[in-house]
Amino acid sequence: MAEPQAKANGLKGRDVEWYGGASRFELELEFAQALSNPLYVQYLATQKYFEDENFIRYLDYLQYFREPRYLKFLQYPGPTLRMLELLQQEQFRKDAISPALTQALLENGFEAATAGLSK
Amino acid sequence: MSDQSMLACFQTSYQRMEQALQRLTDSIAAYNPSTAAGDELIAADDELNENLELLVKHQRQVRRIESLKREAEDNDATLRSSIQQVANLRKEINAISSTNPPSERETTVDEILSFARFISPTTVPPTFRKQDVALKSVKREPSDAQITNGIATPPSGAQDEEDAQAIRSENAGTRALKPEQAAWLDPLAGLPFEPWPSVDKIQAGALGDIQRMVEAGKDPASVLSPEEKIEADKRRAEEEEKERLEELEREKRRASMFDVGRRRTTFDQSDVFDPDA
Repeated sequence: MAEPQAKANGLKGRDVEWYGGASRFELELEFAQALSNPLYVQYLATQKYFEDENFIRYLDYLQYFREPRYLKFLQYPGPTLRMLELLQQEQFRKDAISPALTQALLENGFEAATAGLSK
Repeated sequence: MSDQSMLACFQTSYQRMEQALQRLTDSIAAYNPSTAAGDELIAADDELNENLELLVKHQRQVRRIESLKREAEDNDATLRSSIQQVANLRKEINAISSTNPPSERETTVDEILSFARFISPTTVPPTFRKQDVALKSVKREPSDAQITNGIATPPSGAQDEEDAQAIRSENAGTRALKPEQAAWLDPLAGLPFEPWPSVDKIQAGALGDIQRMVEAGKDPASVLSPEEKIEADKRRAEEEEKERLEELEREKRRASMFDVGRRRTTFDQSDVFDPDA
């Protein structure tokens, strides 16, 4: 009978693995793949997320998706890992706001993903 | 029929022919033509014809036998060479596999194949023209200024719709601008969808749900996980049980109170002080 009493306290006994109707892994998976879209990265830059230390550390934590057992859940593995890698660089985080860089990323990503066919 | 027996057959028929002819000529020379001799001659001639036909057949069959023999020999040779090749290949294969240790890896072939199937819808578009990519960048720049105004997960839902409309009108505008390049607009429209999740997809996901919850004022943390939901359901059931039991208790108590009242009145009757009793 001790469990329900702890949970009855509402927020104090909240399950960390669950937030807003989705599991923590689901949310992290979605977020990491959303990052592969350069437009989203640019938006985050405009909202000053890249100046938050905790956020930067969180981005580093997301590197766990490189491992095969987590990699297999990515539907956009290439661009996701590439973006996570780029976001590790401070200079990149600073430049992420510029439209020119976003444009270059869009083109680059598109070409990289389609390089196999044209040859 | 061997050649020798054919030859002997012919010889006998030749002899017979000769004899018949000789007899006929003799009989004619003796001014005594005998029709028997003539018949004999005809019979001998027929026999000779038969033998000729037989010879033809014989020759044909001999030639067929030879060709079949040649064919059989060829097949034998082919078979021998094939078996030899198979033996050689087997030797080679054995030689290879012994030097290549079986790879013990975590990821099996099946896993890799299923992963390939998993990412196939999001990798490498089915139709693509490389020369259109250079043109695309020129078009993108004017639209960039509008799109960068918080296209991805904007803070308010109204702004998002506005932006989506802006993008759509932008696309319509570009289409009007360059009608002759309708072909490369396909990769242009498909570009953001290509190697990463599109803005719509991002907003349709769990993160988008949380965003909308926050905007609506609901605390996402208050949404219970499945285990928590089961717990909450159990607790509610227990509470309802308790309430029902309490209700029953109250009913019983009320009922019992009435009973007590009644008993007191009856008790009163018998309890009345009767000085005469």
